[in-house]
Amino acid sequence: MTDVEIGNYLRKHRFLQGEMTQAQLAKSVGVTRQTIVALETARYAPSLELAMKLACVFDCGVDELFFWKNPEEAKANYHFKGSKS
Amino acid sequence: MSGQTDIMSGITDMNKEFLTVLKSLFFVAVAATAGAVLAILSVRFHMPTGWVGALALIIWSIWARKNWAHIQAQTGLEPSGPERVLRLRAAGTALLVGHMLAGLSHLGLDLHIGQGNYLAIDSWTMFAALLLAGIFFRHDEAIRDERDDSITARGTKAGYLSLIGMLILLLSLLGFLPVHTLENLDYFTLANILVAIILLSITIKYTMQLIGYAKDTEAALTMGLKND
Repeated sequence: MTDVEIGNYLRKHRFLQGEMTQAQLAKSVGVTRQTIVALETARYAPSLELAMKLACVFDCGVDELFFWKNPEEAKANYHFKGSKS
Repeated sequence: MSGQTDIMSGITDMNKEFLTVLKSLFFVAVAATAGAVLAILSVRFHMPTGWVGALALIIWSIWARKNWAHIQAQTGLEPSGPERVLRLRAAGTALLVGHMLAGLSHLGLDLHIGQGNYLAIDSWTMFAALLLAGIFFRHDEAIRDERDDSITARGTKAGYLSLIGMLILLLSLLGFLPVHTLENLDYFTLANILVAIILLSITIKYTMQLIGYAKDTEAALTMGLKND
């Protein structure tokens, strides 16, 4: 696991949801509490399925939960590079 | 000025990461060294020492569970179920690898049971203890998630590559060493070498996984992220 380019608002949403604990969130989405810790420290980027499960728990969109740490760099790196016919 | 701060921060982060890797390597090295010492003592004093390794493994398992309960209460950053099982397997496999390699280093020694040494019995004793110690962590293996699979995948890749590398090395030696050098290499010794290679690659796999988990825990500790 390395520091990933994607951040998240998991911790913020947990506290907004009546101070949900890491263990409660982990149980809700079927992962270990240590994985929630790894997510919150941005050491691990979840799979799309896990990201959607987390978004479901907080009743929000995936893009409200996860974000690029450096949006400009992301836009520069990830854009359509072919020619449009 | 801010650039200098960034550089110092980067160096500090690298040092922390290096120490984290070192801790995991140290854990495995201690277990392997213990296994090697037991094998050497067994050959030197013609007595079984496997029970010492077996006892140490079981005592460590009991101590580890208590230590993790303490960590859970203190920081909430205790190892998860899969990591606990991994630590036991890493310790046990490293113990066996050290024991086996030290035994194989005694050239000309007949490793069969009942041939004047206790090395084979010692290995099986420690292997039995590894299985027994696993009972202490049986329930901890309940949840295994995608992060565990991701860390396992990295370890498996390292283990596989090391296995292939060592097999290529062995085949090269068998192919290119002079015949008189290979005269003492009977089928039984060759089989034990192959077992040692397999165990070593498994140990490398487990070590990589330990490092993966350790880095995550260190990051959480650095951020002061506790159980909440």
